[in-house]
Amino acid sequence: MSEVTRQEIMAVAAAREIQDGEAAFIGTGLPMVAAYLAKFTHAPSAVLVFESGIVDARPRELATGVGDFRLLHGCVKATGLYYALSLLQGGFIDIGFMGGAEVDEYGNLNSTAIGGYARPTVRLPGSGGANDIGSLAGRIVIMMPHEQRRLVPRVQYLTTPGFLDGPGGRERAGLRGEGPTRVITDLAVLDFEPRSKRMRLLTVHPGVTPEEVQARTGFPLLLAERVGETPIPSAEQVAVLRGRVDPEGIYIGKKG
Amino acid sequence: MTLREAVALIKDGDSVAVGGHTLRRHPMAIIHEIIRQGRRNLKLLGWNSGIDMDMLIGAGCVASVETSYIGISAFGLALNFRRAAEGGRLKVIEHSETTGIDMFRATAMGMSFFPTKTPLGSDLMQANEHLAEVTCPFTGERYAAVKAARPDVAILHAHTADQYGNVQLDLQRWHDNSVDAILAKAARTVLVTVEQIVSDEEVLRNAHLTVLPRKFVTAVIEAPYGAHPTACDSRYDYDLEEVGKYYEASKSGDAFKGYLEERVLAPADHWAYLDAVGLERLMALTRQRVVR
Repeated sequence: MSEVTRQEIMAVAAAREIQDGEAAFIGTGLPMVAAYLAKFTHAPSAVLVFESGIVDARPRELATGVGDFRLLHGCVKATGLYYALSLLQGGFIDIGFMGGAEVDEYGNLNSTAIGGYARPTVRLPGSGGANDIGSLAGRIVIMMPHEQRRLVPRVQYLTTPGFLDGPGGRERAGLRGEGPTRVITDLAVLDFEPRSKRMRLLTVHPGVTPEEVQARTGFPLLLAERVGETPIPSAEQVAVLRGRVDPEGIYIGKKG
Repeated sequence: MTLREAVALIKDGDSVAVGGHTLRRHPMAIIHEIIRQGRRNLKLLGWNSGIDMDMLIGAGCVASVETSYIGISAFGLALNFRRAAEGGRLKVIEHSETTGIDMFRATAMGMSFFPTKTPLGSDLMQANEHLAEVTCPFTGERYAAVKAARPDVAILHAHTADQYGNVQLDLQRWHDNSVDAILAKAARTVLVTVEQIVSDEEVLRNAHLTVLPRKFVTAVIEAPYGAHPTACDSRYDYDLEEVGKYYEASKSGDAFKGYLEERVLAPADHWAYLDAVGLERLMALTRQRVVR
């Protein structure tokens, strides 16, 4: 087995968050890879709901977009985005995945604008389904590259709620769901300390130190009592990832 | 009615709801004709947008956009949108996907607002003047109210219609496309291009496929490949070669002018546009339409 890639470590860490039998709301990219890995290994009864309203798909080729017609192959229900969004609002989705340009220490995300809303220095695409997922899914897993300009003390524009201004923030705003429970980056796995709702370092990927993670984070991280190492993918997980889920290495990186 | 006559019903400054979503079934033939006719100061409304809005913005037709997202699929950011927003030349009213649909849903159901949970606590509540907080009179729970939108025009692309304007969608993607019917019910004027005008009998035989009875449709125009380069599922796939060409050109204002000249302004009508794209490409998109 050649050396595992950081993306494979991230995919496995994300897959671990999906419990068997849960309904998972997924987009494209690594979350899709992680969801298929979970389904093909420890969570065969998980129901994967694509934002496009395609329920429990088993495509022969990886999709290039959440609305991709290719996902229709072998799915058990073909419907539309509004149906999928209604599942979120109805409280039927256990776990959702998302990224963003910025995340802050309370897990709030920005995918709208850098440098002011009315006349931004960088205008990003906007919420899309991100706000819907963050506000309404049972739990949220955030996946993004670990860079100081991305992990910031406070997002410049709050597109998608995490814990808003901290403990009790979601409840005060009238939101449902637990909020973000994991942050998975190319360096580490983090969660949110239950009392303060502030981001906390759980494990570092092999070859990464906690100091390096802190140096690339724009705010002081809380530390777990014992910061361990993120488990490396098992031989079975690597075989499924490379052989079945993403044989061309589009999302998990080229084989070493 | 011809495409030219139908688009002439849209006036400068009109609010225009654009059908389709992401890279799927946007009414591109209508959009090309809007650009040819040089419409200005349009207020665009949608719920998940892409090349449709970005092209109109790049052509100088747009004063404001109201949607949840504008991006060019896997290629990246929508660059005309980005330049206009960063230059302060474009008003952006941001929605979540749910509220982007709910603004039409409210009007379609005869309501002045629609309640939802999604934008609570986020900066969308400040950035979007069409969202406000309300309290449930029964439980005291907080909700966001989405103000009903009443667009002057809705522009849509569908699979088939009869000569009276009863519009149908292919069964395989009926559900995915059905939000367009909500847009149509919210708008005053509804312009629909279709892949094919079919006989009255065909509609009667497959009445379950009718998504819009003629009551809601102002004009229906036959425009095969009318969604190109976006996909019209069950008929043809999206054209990533064309979208890539578009994306490259949109990296600078001058290059984009060149793209518009070549692809939109030089072709006199939709048929000339299809000639410019070429039969070989269109047939290739049609061949790969069905999942292998």
